[in-house]
Amino acid sequence: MPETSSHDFFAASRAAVADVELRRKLENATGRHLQHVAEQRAEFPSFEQERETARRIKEDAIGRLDELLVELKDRLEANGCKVFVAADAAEARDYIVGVAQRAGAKRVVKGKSMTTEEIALNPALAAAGIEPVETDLGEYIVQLRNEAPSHIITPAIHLAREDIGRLFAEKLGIPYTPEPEKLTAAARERLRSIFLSAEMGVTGVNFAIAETGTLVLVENEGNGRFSSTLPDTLVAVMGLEKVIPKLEDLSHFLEILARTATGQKLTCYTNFINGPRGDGELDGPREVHVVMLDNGRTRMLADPVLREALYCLRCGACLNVCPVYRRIGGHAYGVPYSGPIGSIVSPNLFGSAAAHLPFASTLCGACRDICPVKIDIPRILLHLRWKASGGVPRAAASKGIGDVRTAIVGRGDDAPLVKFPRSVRGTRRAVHRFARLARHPWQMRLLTRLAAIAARPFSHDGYLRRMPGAFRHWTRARDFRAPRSRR
Amino acid sequence: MVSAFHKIIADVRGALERKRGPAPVHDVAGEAARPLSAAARRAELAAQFGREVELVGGRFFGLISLAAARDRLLELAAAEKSEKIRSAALGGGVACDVEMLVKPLARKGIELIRTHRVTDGDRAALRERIAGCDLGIVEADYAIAATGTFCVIATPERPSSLTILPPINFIFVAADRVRPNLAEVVAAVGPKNFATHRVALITGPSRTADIEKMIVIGVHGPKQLFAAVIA
Repeated sequence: MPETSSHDFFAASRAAVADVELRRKLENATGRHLQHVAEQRAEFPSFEQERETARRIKEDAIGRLDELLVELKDRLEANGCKVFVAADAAEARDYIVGVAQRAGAKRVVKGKSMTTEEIALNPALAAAGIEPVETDLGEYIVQLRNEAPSHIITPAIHLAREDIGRLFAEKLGIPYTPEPEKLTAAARERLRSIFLSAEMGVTGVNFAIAETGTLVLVENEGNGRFSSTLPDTLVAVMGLEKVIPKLEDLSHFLEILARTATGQKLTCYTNFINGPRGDGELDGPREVHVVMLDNGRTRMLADPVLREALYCLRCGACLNVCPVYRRIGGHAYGVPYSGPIGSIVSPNLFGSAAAHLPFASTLCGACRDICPVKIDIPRILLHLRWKASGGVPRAAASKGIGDVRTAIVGRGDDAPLVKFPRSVRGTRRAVHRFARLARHPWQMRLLTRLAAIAARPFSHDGYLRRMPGAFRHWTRARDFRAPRSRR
Repeated sequence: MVSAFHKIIADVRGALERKRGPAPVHDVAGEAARPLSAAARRAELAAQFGREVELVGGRFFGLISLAAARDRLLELAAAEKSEKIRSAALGGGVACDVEMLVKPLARKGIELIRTHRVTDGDRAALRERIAGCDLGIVEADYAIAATGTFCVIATPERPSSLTILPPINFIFVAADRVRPNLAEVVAAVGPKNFATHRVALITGPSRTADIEKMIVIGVHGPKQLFAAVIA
């Protein structure tokens, strides 16, 4: 379980913002991604229609998750898989470590899986004397650096090719090169023999089809294919929400997933895993274990606003458009799921360690716009802020006034969940007072009139270009329209 | 373990506060009618498929006979110095007569490995041989024109190793098995096959964009992909 606090978050994000090189890398990579996505969408006229259909299917699937999970489990078992339902991360870890020990595995090859990051599987395997080897290139790079991935689908987004060149020179003993082709070839060579000798593979699951008991794994490099094909034992780890009802539903998701995640029409490999290898077959594991992970998901399901977060396909696109993520990167968040989607799922998965994350957003709405299943992330963020601040009586919230006010200012100084640094606390107090004033129209009018008088010495042509004292930061990078009293 | 599962299902049911009801039906957008002859339609789909394969880094031989495709492949094998093809692994066919590839390859001095049903005793040996060879030759079950994707259903005679271990792949598909889009291929393969076989959709040679979002071809899977639609 990652240990972090709001205080760490403020420190980490301040450091990240000051890191000009990191911002350059993030802008570069996210900008490239968004350009690919825009091109793919423009070339695919049915995108909106598919998106709409995919969302409806998710609504339906999550709405009858109980039935679908029973159907999926039955089908998987009929196909010869062993299904384990883990209530939390510890149960999942223990089970997987147990499987590895029974299989006599010394090494486990891992296809890229955020869910295994969520349950912190690697340290658990290592503690049991089993070496976990990440095989997705980005994951391999961050594992060599003893780091966590900083993006859901581009784990090494925070690194430049020169950084990776130096890393490979040091850890793999190859001559320094910043060329992506050579670095990739070095990783390929290193991992090939590991693939061929590993006793066990661990992968994630993108979709689990209840109708057929088929697990779908989407990837580009072949790491998922290798990990699920060559070792004798396979463990696939899926969140409860990954189930979809029917085979025919799948294409709607695949049509939008890669277009949004990587700006491709379809990823290089879409692997369908049905169960252990059949009689006479060369490939496929002898044993397939499917770990269905709850770890806070039923709690999310029980919250009618938060439930929508379970539609997420983990495409990572919301990270790339997020003005906060693009400036601070993934590590500052302190939990495996960063960015807008991370800010709404993490408080439920990681508890108080991530309770401050719903506040790490400007609520600009770019995440909602790019989301392939149209998750209304800003609405959920506001909802979580309201919850984090202790909430207000439902009657006030339903009138639409209480929730927004409390979300901004909290309950005052007794709200302990998010500990803001002193500089922010001052602003919060000011906003708190302003909110109190703004509740009465006459006060607001008076305030505006006073502000207009106070600002008069600083305004030119109706704009405030430079303000004195504490206000100078506000006008350092932009001009404000000077306040005017109502005519 | 069973009780844990039922407990979570009970939690899920409680969270949903719902009772059982019928599943809704989602409308799937139908393809518009195409007033084309079957042959013209096949040529159109093959051309579209070829364009898409090349866009994802593959090399398309065209809508040609298997013999012509084989000759193109042998020419390339002889021409390319860096990736010399000395050995090839060949899987069982679907709709085409793959046996006609055997002799010409042998005549060119290419060692040919045929995949077959295995026992636990010879599994490791066959896999090692496939891992060591330069070229994997596979007939795909279907192809998706819109995305340049091959759909391969694994069987004992046509194992997945063929399309993942060798550095070069030659994959071909019969012309009448090229379908316009993903949904049609998924429907053609059908629920039964998905429940009983490992299936892979393959779109171009393996790739990554993990280093500064720059595309590099050839990560764990094949580095080169030759494709053909067989008339």
